[in-house]
Amino acid sequence: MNGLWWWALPVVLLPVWWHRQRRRRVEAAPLATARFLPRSAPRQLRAWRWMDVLLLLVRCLLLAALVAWLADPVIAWRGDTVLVVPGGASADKHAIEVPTNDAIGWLRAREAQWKPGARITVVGPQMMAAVQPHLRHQVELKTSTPPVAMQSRHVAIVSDNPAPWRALFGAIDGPVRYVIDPAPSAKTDLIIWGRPATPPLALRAPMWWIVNQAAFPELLQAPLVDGIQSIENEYGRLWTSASWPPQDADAARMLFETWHHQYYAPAPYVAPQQVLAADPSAPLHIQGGALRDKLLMALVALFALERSLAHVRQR
Amino acid sequence: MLASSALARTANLDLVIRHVLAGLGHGIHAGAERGAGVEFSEYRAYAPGDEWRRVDWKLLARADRYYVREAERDSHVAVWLVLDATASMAEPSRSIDGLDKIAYARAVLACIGAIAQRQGDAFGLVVLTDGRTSVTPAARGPRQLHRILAQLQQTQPVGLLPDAAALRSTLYFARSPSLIVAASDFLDWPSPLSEALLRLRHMRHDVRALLLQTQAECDADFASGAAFRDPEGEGMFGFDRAVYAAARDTHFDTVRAHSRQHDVPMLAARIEQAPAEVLRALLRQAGRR
Repeated sequence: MNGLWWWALPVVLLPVWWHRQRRRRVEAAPLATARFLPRSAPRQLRAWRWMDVLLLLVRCLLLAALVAWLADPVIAWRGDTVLVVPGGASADKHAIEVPTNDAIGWLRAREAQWKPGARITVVGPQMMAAVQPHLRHQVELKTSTPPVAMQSRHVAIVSDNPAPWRALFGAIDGPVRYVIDPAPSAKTDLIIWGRPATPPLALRAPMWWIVNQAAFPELLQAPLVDGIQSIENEYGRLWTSASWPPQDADAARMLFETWHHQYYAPAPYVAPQQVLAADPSAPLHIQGGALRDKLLMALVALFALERSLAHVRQR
Repeated sequence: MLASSALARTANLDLVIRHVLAGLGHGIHAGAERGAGVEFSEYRAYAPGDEWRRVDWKLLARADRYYVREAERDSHVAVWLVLDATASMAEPSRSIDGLDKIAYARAVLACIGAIAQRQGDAFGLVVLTDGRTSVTPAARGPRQLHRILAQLQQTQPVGLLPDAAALRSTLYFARSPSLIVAASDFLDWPSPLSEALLRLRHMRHDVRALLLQTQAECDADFASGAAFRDPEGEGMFGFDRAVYAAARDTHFDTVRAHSRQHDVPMLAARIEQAPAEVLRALLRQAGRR
């Protein structure tokens, strides 16, 4: 759409037309005996002369800058570049710090800024893309895996038979550590409720696993999805299943995956080090705005200059 | 070669005179009239207007009457050169570079002045230019010739003729019998100049007109696509050969008829002609009178 503004470029010819001065009359040769000739109407001479060439130039530049500002051109001006993903580091002073972990996606949106043949290196924990990225430039991924940050989630087991659940959480390893709280608190992420009585209303948690459905009879009317019945009420999200506590490792893994999949963002997977070859047929996404600020400044400067020159001419 | 038409281009009027007058010994009128001079002829009674220096004081003392010495060689006839130096006189020759009507008029008038000086006549110059009249009073001698030549040389063709009243007020020179030679293109007729010449003729002066034209004007030969302007007027004119030739013939027929009617001989000369040839024709015309 912006590119269509280039069709407005002929407006640059307007000042040219305004500044053109047509000489009023044809050069008439003096002839003493002209009085013996029939009079003729003064003819216009199609001569082009230029007035105020400097002002004309400034006005043309002003209009060209305006059209360029509207057209928002993208100029391929970047050469070989290092992109630093958060968590990575580069000794290159001209390295660009990418604000996201997806440097490839960031690059794809701005790829038109890079000259053809420029090589791009991504440093840091670049996340693994779902599909192999295709870019017009060669991209080398020098990825590094950051140390895994340990996370902890608080679990409160309110049940007469907490042992199977304790065993379940004790068997889990990985970046998430589960802390079994003796009683539910404000920090509790999950409450496992095994009592037939309805919990006090002050007790709140984002997730409840109800082992004894007698506490929430309405759960039994909830639809069954993946073996889990689920409702949301004033306590939080309530899950129940007839097969709880899980009897084997697969059932336990399934339960945890379902939970995490639905309520926690997956931990990014760092892409392996590799070189993505340039693909000339890859679509080129053009994201404008790179030159807008500079063009705007040029516009303001040219406008001021034009006004000054026009004022000087009038005086 | 110098006697050819290109001679009139020469800015040095002395040179023009020397070459044109070579072999052109005879004058413009019979010079055997009495007047101021070296060889005494007779005394005559003083008349108002005579120069005081020509009064014989010894005779005054003896006879108690004013007498004026008359000499045989000099003549009383003053030659007046009238030059039309209006803008139209800048019309150039279309075949000879650097030659225009004013240069040609200068050359011819300078030669006439030189002849007058040789035969002892007083001669003066009247230049009509830019709405003004400048008169160089008539006098004799080589210094006068140089004055006149300098005056001719510095004259540039600009502006219009002076108006009739201004011109009439300068005709005071016409008291004594004069020969008046006017060089002009006579594109304006009647004009203050034509009126003055006819008036002088009616005062029984010998008035002769030299009508200057260019070969292109005679042939009506101008670029047909070009636009022209009148140097003394306004407006634009497109060239049309037939219209031009008809209007030109009508105008100059009127001019000739008018001048013939008032007994003012008019010699039409093309500026591409050799000045000697024109001068000879002018003198021959004078001889016929």
